[in-house]
Amino acid sequence: MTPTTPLLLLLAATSSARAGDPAPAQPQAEAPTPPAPAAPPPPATGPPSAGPRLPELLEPPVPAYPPAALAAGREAVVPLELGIDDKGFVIAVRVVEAVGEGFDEAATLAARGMRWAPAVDARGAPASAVVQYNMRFSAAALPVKVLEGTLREGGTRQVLGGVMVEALGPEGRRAFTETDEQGRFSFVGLPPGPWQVSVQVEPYEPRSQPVTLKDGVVVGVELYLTRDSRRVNLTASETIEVTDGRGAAAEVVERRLTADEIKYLPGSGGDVVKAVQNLPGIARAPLGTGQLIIRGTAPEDSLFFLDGSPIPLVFHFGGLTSVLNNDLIDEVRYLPGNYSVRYGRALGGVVDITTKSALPERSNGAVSVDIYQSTFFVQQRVNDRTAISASGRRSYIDAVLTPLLSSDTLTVQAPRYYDAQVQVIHEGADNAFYDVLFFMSDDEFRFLGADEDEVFAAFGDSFLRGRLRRLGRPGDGWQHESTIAFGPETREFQFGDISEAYEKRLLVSVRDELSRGLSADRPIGGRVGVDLLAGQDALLFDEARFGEPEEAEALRLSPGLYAEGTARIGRFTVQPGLRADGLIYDNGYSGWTLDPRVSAKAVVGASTVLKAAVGKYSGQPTLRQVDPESDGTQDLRFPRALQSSVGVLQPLGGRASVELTAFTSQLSELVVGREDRLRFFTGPPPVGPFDTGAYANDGVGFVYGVEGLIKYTGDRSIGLLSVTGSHSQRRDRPGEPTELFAYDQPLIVNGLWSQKLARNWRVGGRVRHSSGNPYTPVVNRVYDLESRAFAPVYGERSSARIDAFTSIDLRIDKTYTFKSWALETYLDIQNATFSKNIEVIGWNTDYSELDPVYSNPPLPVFGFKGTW
Amino acid sequence: MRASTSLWPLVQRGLLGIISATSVGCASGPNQDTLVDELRVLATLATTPEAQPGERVGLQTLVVDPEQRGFDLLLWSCTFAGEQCVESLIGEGEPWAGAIVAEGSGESSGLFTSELDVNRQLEAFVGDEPLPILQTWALACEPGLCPAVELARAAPAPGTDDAKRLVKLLSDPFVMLEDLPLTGVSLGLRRLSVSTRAPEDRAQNPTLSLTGPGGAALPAEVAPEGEVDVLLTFDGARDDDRAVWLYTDAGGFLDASVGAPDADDVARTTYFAPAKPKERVNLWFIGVDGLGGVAMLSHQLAVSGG
Repeated sequence: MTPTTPLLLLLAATSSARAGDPAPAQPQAEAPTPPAPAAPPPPATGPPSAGPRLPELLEPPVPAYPPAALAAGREAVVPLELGIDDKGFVIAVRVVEAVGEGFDEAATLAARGMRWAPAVDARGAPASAVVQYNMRFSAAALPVKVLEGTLREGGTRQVLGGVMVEALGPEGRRAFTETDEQGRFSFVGLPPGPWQVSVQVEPYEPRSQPVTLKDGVVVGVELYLTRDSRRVNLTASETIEVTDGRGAAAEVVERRLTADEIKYLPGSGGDVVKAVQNLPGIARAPLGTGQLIIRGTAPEDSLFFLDGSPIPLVFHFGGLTSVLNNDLIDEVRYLPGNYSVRYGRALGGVVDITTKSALPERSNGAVSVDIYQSTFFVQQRVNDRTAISASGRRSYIDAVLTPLLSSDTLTVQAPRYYDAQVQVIHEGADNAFYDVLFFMSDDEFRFLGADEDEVFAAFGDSFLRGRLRRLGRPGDGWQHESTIAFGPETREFQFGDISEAYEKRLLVSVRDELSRGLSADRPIGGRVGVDLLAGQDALLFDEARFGEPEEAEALRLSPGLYAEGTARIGRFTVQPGLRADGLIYDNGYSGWTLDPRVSAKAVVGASTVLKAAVGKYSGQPTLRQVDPESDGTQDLRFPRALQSSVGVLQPLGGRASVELTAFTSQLSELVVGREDRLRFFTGPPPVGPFDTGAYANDGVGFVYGVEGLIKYTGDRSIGLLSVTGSHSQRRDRPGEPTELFAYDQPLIVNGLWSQKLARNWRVGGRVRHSSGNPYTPVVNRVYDLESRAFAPVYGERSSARIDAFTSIDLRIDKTYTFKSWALETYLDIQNATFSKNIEVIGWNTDYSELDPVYSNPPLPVFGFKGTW
Repeated sequence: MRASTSLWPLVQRGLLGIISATSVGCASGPNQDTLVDELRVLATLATTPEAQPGERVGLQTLVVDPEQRGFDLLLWSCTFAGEQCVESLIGEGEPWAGAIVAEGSGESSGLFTSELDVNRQLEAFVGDEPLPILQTWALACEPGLCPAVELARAAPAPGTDDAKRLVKLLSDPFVMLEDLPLTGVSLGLRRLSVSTRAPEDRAQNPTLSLTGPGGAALPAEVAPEGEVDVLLTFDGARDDDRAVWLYTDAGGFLDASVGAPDADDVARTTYFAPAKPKERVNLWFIGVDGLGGVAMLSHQLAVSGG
């Protein structure tokens, strides 16, 4: 192939045209230009010569012949229109008449590497110009291939197709080509000498490889690109309107954390679910547990979901690490309040963990090892439409602690946990996505006697779930989601032969939802769905000092129906919805509720978003609270909350944003009573005088507060500052005084920063400050002369407060990228400042002084993760 | 209604205790709970743990004042009827029947004797099943700290405000304690049962005897940081909650209590003497049989020599 004689059709660019701006089309005059000159060009900025002059081609282009066309013996001439700036660089290329077969793209690429002597205007100054040029491809005159190679992603060896590769040679010569689907590329006709082969494409770090070309030798090169980790950022996005294929939704505040974005955040041990606790509205749970204390509500008032289905357990041992493998998780959606009718049975907030719902581009895997546990994840593409994955986790704390803690008379089976997941995903021919997931978790902690049949104390928490899910896309913006999940769950506790307790459930959950989101040309959307829970609940609470054992078992049916619409009128969007929930036990209990909700947003000015919502939210009483066999009350109603919120979201340039939300929640019909009963599984540990009356809907409460979130996402750094100020109060019975909620934390501040350094190092820190929980102080004590124990005399309820919690966490990451795999190493240190924080209030045996449970000393976690 | 007790803190502390105990291996030093280092009503021994209506019961109350700062002792009883004391309902403005005040002698401990006349009218309410409806209270206060003591000592005339105020204080000791300081005050509660059972069928106090290894008498002297092995022989009703609780005003015992004794009814523990010499150290052994019966022993020794 040889470049043909260019035809100059135009000159007369004005001298005022700026470099980099393509010259505007001008009246064109066709004039032949000579072939590429052999003589050196005049300097582009040299002394002006008299009169206008056309651009002159300095170097002939070296286009890559399209492989398929070459194999087929095809030749072509591609007419191009080139914009040349006043430095002689080609800054715009337009194919005047496409010829296809890859010639147009190859010609365009080659033209961008051409170098011209710039045009000169009438005053002798360099000027922009537009020329026409015929790029000819002739197989007979094909230059010799001198350089070939392959482009892959480092760490995974995944080939990278469609990526532009540049060769920069002596005297500023440049050539371009593009990788094919197999990541291959080649250059032809380059003269001998030192060259730099360079690739610059997102999301990878720029890569440049020197090569020396020689006559008669084809040089091979393999380029591996490293992912630019500075692009792995935190985004805590807030939207009032979600049109992400999930259909319409209109949360006033929805914060999303994607798994890839948050795994490097300090303080969470790389756990993507725990990272939610950094966001506004969540109070700090004692002992670092994963309890959700959202907007001044009790942990049991908020729910965890997995793709819209409730899950019984999210963290091993209440907060150590999540029960799902990070690599299964796509994002974590945190909805602190005023959420859509899609979610129900909760007075507080919702966290919905979303699993990945797209086929992987290739088979992949990961193995991670730290000082507490190991995890693995493998995912295999079965065919073009199907992939299967397996993952699991096993702790080995017990392997270390059991021999350390055990003695001749005591065998300690220290905390042991494991989980496993198997998932098959399939993209059907019907444009639907199918997902079959089996997952399980098992936690156990036991103290045994010398004879292992003698159980001194034991705790167990386990579940097994199977889930089938179909996401259909009938078209025109509609989405049909069908999910059925089923499986048993068990929590049990044994304390010698003194007490035994368990809660067991066999649950089937069904969700079927049809939704349609908004789009640029579709101002109306909505969703309608069925959300059903059914199964069997059983419980036993047996402890002699709490009176007669409580034992109950009942079949349960909890149907839910919901519908909502979304309408956009100009810059205003409104979303009204209605949800109906019921609860039926075969012990005779039944209850119903109807929850209307509405939310709205308005875009003001260029980018300011105002939002507001109000709605009713209902919880449900538990089997224990309504079953006659456990001193339950059959006529309990559903506890409810009237939630309202207003907020504003203001982007600050392209990198930062600030969000401010004020909220209230009026709680009523709260179920109170029987605080004297044995309780192991829910709620805060009761401290203080206890309500021993029968269960009743006598409780009321009020919560109000303000949440602020400032976030920054830079090229090499990310930052987040979340601040929550709130007040949460309760009154358990009519006539009793109002008191602070057990988890009332008036001020919560979380600040995070992560900085990308050179050589794939990353450092980050987290600063936390949160008010301590209120508690009822002990003002005196009575000595029981028979039991030989002191009984506390309490002062005013909730009149004291634990000291504020402060902590600084640090994290350091270093990633090593190899050809076929990558190794991430990290050191995550919680409480690096040795802060001695009180986690749970307590007293010594004679109540003469506080003897609280303190937070852990600095807890370094060092680990590795290999991915391929 | 609100109650003041819950098992959860005990369970929670029990678990934490197990973890901490196993974390440090077997404990080998004194248990700090055995050291009484401030004013405390330590025990009340009744001549019978199960009385009959109309019976007079003798009471011995042991008060420990290790700092020897002196104290006043107010003793009163409450026949618990529902949520109130019968004594507070009899005659508005009447002084609390049977409330007495005593003073500590300035010694590190004192044993106070009193009597309780069980209301004969209880015959109408109790039967063969013993009911723990008698509460005997002992309030030890450093001088001037407790208004109830001052009121009772003044023996206010019936119908006066002071008499009414005293009744109000004594009828709900938990409320009374809310206004008293935590230190320099100790309130002990002992419950007695009432039944109409024949004397031979009623609960009895156990007996407790104390020896050193091999049946030898406990030594009267021990070196600083020395150890004394103690054998406790327990005789009486058997119950899972039977235990001997151990206290001292210097040093400490290995165990806070020794639980259900061996088959031979002998329980063992060790006393650890303090590091500094002390002319007189008190050891107290309170046996409870879990059925209401109580036994009490004490021993004194000197910490000296080396």
